[in-house]
Amino acid sequence: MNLKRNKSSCVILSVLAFSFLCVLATIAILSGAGVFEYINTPRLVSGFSFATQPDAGYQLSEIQQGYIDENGYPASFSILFYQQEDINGGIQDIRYETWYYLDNDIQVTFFNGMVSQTEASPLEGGTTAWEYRPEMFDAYMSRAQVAQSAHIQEWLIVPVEKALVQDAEVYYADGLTFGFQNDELVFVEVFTGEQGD
Amino acid sequence: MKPTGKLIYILVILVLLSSSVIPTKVQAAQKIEHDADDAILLMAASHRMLDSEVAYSGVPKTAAIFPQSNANEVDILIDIYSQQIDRARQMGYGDQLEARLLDELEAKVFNLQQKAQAVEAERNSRRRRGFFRRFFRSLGRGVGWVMGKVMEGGGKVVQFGIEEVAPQMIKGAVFGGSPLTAAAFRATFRQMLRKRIEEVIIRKVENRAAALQAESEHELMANSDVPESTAASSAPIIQPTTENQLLESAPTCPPFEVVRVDIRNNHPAYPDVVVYANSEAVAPPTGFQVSYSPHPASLAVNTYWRLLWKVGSRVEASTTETVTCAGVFLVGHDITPNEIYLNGELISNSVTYAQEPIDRDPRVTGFFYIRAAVDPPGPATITVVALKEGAVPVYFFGFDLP
Repeated sequence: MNLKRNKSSCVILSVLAFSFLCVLATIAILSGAGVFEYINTPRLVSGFSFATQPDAGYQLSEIQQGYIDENGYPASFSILFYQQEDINGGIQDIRYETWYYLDNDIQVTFFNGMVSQTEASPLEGGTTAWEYRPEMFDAYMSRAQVAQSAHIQEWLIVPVEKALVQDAEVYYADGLTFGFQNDELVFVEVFTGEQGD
Repeated sequence: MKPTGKLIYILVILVLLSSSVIPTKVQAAQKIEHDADDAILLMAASHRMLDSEVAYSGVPKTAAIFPQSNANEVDILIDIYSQQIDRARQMGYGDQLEARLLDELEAKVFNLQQKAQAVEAERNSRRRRGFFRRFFRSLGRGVGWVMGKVMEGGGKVVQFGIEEVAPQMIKGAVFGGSPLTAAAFRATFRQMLRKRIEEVIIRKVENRAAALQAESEHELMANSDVPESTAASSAPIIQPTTENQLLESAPTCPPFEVVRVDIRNNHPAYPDVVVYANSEAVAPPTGFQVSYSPHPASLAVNTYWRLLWKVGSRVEASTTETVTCAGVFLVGHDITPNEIYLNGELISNSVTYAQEPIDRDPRVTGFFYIRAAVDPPGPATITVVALKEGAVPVYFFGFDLP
């Protein structure tokens, strides 16, 4: 009799445990799918606050500082951060940036702080003045560092297809756009132009 | 010994043996973690989303950076890499180097074509609607507020479907709701982005060609007893023949020499007379003169340098004093093609790169001192001429007295 009772208790307990595990698994699967959907969905985020980050930023080269002393900060600029092979088969970090001066009609490209090219700027018309500076952005910064360094309060995050670039997102904020791959800053671009059309 | 213990013992021995057998070069091989292509594709993706509205507003397709209306970001790279195949054929790299480079470029284009198809397939799949898609999307929104606390720095999150993120909305985020004028916008696409991408890829391909060249030179050296030549060659990348000799002031001036100088901690020991290229800032010593192409073909930079920008722009130093040796110091991560003349005679046309960072500080770079004997000793004029639009950074000219 006791054996029978014990047996049925065991069965009930097993069924309960199994059901509980099924519920847990379902919750885990649904949450996982929800998180997956979330990180693949564009989202506007505002009012974020990250823990204070260690000071980040880039030290301008003497040539770049010379341009700023002479012409002021550029109205618009774009920076690509990447690595390339050097002739010895080693790896070199590259900061490739182009500054656009509208008033002086200059476009200057720097390759790791050294001037690589200057030419007339293709941009025309009025400007939208932003407070962004090239030295606010350094290679492979985290987004918390970018938010702190560039004083960004709100951004629109648009995930990028995995087939295009793995683990990457494009961010849009006031007057600029930037991109992260594996949570590391790989490009930034500050726009300018005449507002209204 | 137990069979399991024996197996572990054998495995440990095998691991130890294999680690000592693997060549050091293979072990030390570095991998690029941040590829230029990925950064470019991300930047192009950001532009693509901003570009759409302009395309709808009747701007000719040729005005956009994307070659066809249905093209995606990868097509830009395919287009530019395909151009590099033609360019590589015209560069005269030599049969072996050209073949290796072309193989790599063709494989690259093939892989990019596959990537473009995969991107389109992923986009089409995202556009599809269905019960499960809607269900998981709702679920995703449901977890949004939790994620906001965890992943988004405690921020407020508003989520959108892919199809809801219209260019106008993206522009709203970037320009506060006011669109750019079409003119400025088109200029951004046509002239800025495409050009930058091209420049980055050209550099990348040139670097790869240089690496292949260096690799084959090393292989050649390893397989022969022929000593390294010290003469100027027509190879695209010159291997400096000596290093740091300038620090020790090489006693005699060879007929021709390229020296790479490490100035991280030491200023190079100067030749007897130094004449800075930026003579506006530092006047040349008595008996020496500097002349140069007018601005903007040449530009005085910083305290000492002069950059040559345009094809044919030049800077030269001359003296009526009797000198035994004359040289010029080129500085930079990227020295574009140039020619150096001594008393009207071409002595170098091959120092096009100083692409070897002396250490990991990207602002410290290669420094090259190119010098040649003035034979017989006498007055000398040394001239640097830019052959290509770009930058030839000239630091100073040097002269040795008898």
